[in-house]
Parts: sequence; structure tokens; C-alpha cells
Amino acid sequence: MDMLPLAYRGVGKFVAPLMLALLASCATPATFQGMVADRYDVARQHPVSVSVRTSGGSETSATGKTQISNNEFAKALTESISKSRVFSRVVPSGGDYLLQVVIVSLEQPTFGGTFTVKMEAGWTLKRSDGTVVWQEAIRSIHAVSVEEELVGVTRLRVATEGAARENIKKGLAKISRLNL
Amino acid sequence: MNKRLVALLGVLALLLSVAGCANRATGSLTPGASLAGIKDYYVVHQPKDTHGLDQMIKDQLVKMGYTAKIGEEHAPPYQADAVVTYVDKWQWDITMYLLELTVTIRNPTNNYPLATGNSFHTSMTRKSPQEMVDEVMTNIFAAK
Repeated sequence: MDMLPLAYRGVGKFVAPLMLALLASCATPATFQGMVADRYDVARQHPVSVSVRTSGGSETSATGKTQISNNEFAKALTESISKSRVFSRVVPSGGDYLLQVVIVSLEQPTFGGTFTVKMEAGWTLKRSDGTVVWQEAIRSIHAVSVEEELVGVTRLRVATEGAARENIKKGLAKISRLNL
Repeated sequence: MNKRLVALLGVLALLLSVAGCANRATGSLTPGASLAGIKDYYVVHQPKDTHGLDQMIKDQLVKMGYTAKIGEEHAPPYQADAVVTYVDKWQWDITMYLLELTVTIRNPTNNYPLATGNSFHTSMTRKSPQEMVDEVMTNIFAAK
């Protein structure tokens, strides 16, 4: 910086933090760990296996907003089923049932203090012969305040993961009440 | 120095409150769903919509060769082949503009989503509400 003309000396003091702040502003994708709940409301544990398919998700671009990828959502769903024991086990394919979850919409804020994310997903449970046993659109919501998470892009990721976590909790709770 | 500090704090405050920015336009079909055979649509009016988006969606459907009507939300079943719902998000930047529009086509018996489309344009690339409706509906019906 000493090589710069006198008028520009000291610019580095501001450029460096600005660059760091800009890097910190890059969007990060929702992680499966953030979408798995600690506890589940399970009425009945079904002694059958299930395969899981997810769709409707998308990858996160650095300049965009946090998105939920199909892969991370499937991992979260698999982990949540294992944790809640709604089904006895999750198999890659050929399970007694097939659970298909499609992310329909993710409503996210662009600016603000408390970030509230709303999510809707279409849940379908089929028998191995393709018969639809249950189908429902499930909506969930999660808000994260500035006190909980200071940086905007991180706050959005945490709020998005929370909405997905709530959606999975609601979906599994409904499945646990089915007579399979 | 104070001016620089204020400017830096301003930038930091902005970064702490901004969630991200980009444009996108998507349309997708729920796996196993098909819009073929759907001729008659019921567009659900959103009570907070004061911009007539329901009418624009209805007009777009009619332009595409379908029949459509607008009505209030109620418990299913709806008297139509499919239900159309939408979520509009507006933002102010010199003037109000439509930041994001999500349209979902649903099963009239249980509201299960069959297809959805979304358009998101920030201020620099803003589109008129009519253009946003056109873009979303085109993407939905082009989805496979």
C-alpha cells in the first residue's frame, strides 16, 4: 500500500473488510443437518421399509438465495425417518412403500430484520405396486430474528432449513397416523 | 475518517440485512402429474392482491385456449379441472414493482400441487406484472 499515491493510502483498511463482507454475503445452500429435527411427533411406527424420492429442489448460486437441493432434502428426510422410526428402515429402492416429496414453493424475504420463510411440499406415499395411499400438500413456516443470527445470508439459510425441518416433521407426523 | 466509518458501517448494515439477489424464472411439473386434459381452470383470488393479478392469470389462460374463472378460496372440491393459486411479492425502489410471482396449479379435489412456476426479478431487471404473469405461465406449460 506504500506504493500507492498518498491520496489512496489507507484505502486497504476499507477494501479488505469490504471484500470480506462481500464474501460473507455469498448465499450458502441448506444443509441436511439443519433440516433434521431433534424430536418428532410420532403416533405409530410402521414395521415396513420405505424408499425416498425428492424433487423440486434446486442448487444454490453464490449470488442468489439459499436453496434446498434434492440431494440434501433426501438425506434430511432419510435421517428424519431413521430418527423418528416412522418406518422401520429406509432402502435405496424397492421398499414396501415409496415416499415422494416435491418442493413446490419456497417463499423467502429479500431484505429485513426477522426473516420468515414459508415452504410448501407435496407429499405422496405409494405402495410398491404404485397405489397411492396418501397424498397431501404440506405448508410450513419458520422465522429467524437478528438476535438469533446476525448475518443476513446465514439468517436466510437457517430460516430456510427451519421451514424444511418443520415440513418434514409435519409430514412424518401425518404418515405416522396412517393405517398402513 | 468519520465519513469513511459511516460509509463502511452502512455497507456492513446492508450486508447484514440482505438475503441475496439474482433473477430466476422456473417452471416444473410434479413427478407423475400432467396438465394434458385440463381445460377449465379456477383462479383463486388472493384477498391481499390489489393489482389484479388474478385477472391477468385468467386472461393469460384464456389466451392460451383454456376456459377460466376467478373465485374465492374455499375447501375442495372446486368445480373445475384444476385450481390456480398465486403468491405475489412486491418491493419498493423509486416505485413499487413486482419482485416475485409464484403460480401453482393444483388438483381441484385435494389442492395437491400439479405444477408450479416462479419468476423473480430484482429492480434492475424488473418486469411489468403482465410480463411476469406471461413468463410464469409460459414456463409452467413448457415444463416436462
